[in-house]
Amino acid sequence: MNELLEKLAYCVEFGKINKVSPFPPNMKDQDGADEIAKQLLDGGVPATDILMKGLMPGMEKVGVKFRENKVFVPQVLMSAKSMSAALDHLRPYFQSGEAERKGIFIIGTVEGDLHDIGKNLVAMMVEGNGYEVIDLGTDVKAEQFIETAEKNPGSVIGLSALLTTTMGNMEKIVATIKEKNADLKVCIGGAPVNQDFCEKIGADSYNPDPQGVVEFLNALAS
Amino acid sequence: MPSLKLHSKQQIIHCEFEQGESLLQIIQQQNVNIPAPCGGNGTCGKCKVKVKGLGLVNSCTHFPNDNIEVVLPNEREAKILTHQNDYTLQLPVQLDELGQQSAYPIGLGIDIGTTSIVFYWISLITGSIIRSVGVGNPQVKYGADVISRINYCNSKENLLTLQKELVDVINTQINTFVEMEGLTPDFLVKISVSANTTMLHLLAGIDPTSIALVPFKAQFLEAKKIKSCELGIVANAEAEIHLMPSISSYVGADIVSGLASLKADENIKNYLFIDIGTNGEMAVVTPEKIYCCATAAGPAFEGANIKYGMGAFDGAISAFGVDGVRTISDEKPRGICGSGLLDIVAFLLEKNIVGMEGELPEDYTLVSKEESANGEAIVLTPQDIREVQLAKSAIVTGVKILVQEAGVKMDELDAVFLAGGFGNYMNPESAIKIGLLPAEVSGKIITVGNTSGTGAMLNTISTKFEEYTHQIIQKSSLIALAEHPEFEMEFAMNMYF
Ligand code: B12
Repeated sequence: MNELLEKLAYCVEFGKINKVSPFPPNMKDQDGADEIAKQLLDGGVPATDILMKGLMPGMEKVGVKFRENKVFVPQVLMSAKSMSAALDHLRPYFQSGEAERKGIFIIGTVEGDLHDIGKNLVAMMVEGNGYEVIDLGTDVKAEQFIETAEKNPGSVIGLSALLTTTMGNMEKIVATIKEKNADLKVCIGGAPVNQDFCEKIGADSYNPDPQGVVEFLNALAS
Repeated sequence: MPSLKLHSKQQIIHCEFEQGESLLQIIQQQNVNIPAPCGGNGTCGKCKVKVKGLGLVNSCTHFPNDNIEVVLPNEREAKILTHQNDYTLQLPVQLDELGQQSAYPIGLGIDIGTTSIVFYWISLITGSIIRSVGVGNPQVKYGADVISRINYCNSKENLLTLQKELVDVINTQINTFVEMEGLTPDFLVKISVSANTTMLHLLAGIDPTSIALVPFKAQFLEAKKIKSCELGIVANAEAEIHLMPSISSYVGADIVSGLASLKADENIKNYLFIDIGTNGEMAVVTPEKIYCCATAAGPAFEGANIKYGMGAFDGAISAFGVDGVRTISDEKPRGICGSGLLDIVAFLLEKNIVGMEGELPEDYTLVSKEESANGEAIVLTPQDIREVQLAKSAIVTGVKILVQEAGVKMDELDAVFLAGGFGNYMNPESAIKIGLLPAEVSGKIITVGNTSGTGAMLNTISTKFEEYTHQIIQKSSLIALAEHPEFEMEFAMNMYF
């Protein structure tokens, strides 16, 4: 079974979704994350193990390679899709409480902004690293973040902005959240955002890439 | 008569000259100051200018006989496009009442771009261009792109500041022109402005803030006619400023005007019209309809976000290949401009130094520190390649989605009209090699220059042109890429080379 888990990690790392997927070309006609996850469950491997020993190691490898500029958006997207395909089989176990996740991450693109490709990548990478992700979509107002966080105690909020115009909204949202509940942790990201801005607006963490958020969440969770 | 193209203080002047005059005299007639302390005796050497193809010459002792291009010393050459092309619509002069009443009616077509502004002075008797002048957009000091200009408009006062910058630069040009021609502003009876939607808001003094936030709605898109005095523009008191109509917040009058200015021949049924710039506006034109969008490529091809990137100024690497580096004005290389960047990436792909996934193991040295202008090696970094991947994918993804929405196949496109400055200078083969444009359009690319300016000119020449722009608007539908279900996946996959 260990071998199969390694194979799953490999599929996630290289973005092999399922057997019919043509990507990556050198894995043509081989089983993908979809089939392997199912085989693992059929073979009696607990969902938590599949997540921790199959998906997470694969996801972490891509995350690190992306940070080091060795792979780029398309590879990460394919990895995230493979991860999702496997995760679909595990969802019932999380819902029934049979398997557990490390925490809850709420993410959205801030009010006024529609860019979501980066945000989606972050969401998928965080999910693949063992967290439950609630994606509020784009053009999200402060109230929606606060409401969702209140319904999910212990959750962490992530904000994404791609326009210099909506960085102002990000600032307002962070202020509103902190005013309402200073203990809520907020992390931010997006191309025009940086560490200075993060400090200026009083957010808890800035990261230029998804792996950074994962590490921030892991540090909070431990 | 031979003509002169003069690059001076970020402006480009076109004019004709008499043979037999010295270059110094010709330049001075254009109201451009060149120091000549020895009085044109050819002794002091202070009046040196750079002549394309010849290098530095003393302008007082140089008597040109042929078309000539001159750059004043220490001036960066601003590449501003002012020409027309073979596919330009031709319209006879047709004047409104004010124009008909004037003894010597003059018109002005203005193309306000985010970085540069081009003025076309037109005789409304003959319909021909008297002079065209390109200058930098003075608002640049408040931010390089439209979004930062909009950001700056967070108060009424700041909005007025940006408006005033435009009005002032227009008035300066008008004053210079009338003085040179020995006229008064009274003869200026019509002004047409083509520009992106944000610039039109700023000129009209209307708050553009809503353009930069969801749902990205403009305050106005329709054509407007404003009395010159209302804007404080010096012209005939009755003269109207025609602001040309836009399609959306990001597909502006510059695109409408450009599309309307083109007359494709019978062999061209379906075509792509595209301006490869920061906002990447494009349209697929079919006999029945026009599909358009803006793909937000970002400024990589304008040199921003690229480590050694720069605008198309002197010393910019503008072409690259097996024979090495070519720079603008053949100066020592100091950076890379858009067309150079395309060539470099195409070259690195060809040589397998950059892989099809965009991987470049380490900085690639283009010019050693000994050969560069500032004693620093010029390199292309792995991150630069990533920026190119984002920008080129945004453009090509837009093209693919538009073509698909228009229900034509890529190989059914009969032509690609490349508008704007970058399109004019880039090597189409490199563009195809890196996947900025789809391979199917190879051999069908036609550069058409500054069509927005041409449209502004046509709008000035003939009252009929309004019908043309109106038709473009009627035929157009905007494709919203943000909501498009395939955009994300396509965009990601098109990042590959
Ligand atoms: C793709 C794109 C679009 C797509 C968006 C599709 C979508 N569903 O998201 C479309 C074409 C619809 C679009 C539209 C617009 N866009 Co746009 N767009 C881009 C583009 C090309 C790439 C952005 C992107 O997806 N990058 C890839 C992702 C993976 O990177 P990322 O988002 O930065 O995310 C990474 C990190 O930032 C980080 N991250 C992101 N979020 C978060 C959150 C957290 C918590 C953390 C920790 C990290 C993190 O992790 C990600 C992975 O590393 C850029 C230009 C460029 N070359 O970058 C312009 C750009 C962002 N757009 C811009 C603009 C202005 C617009 C428009 C407003 C106007 C326009 N057309 O030009 C419109 C508005 C929307 C509309 N009317 O539909 C400008 C912004 C300029 C500025 N000064 O703010 C840019 C820079 C281009 C330009 N013109 O200069 N755009």
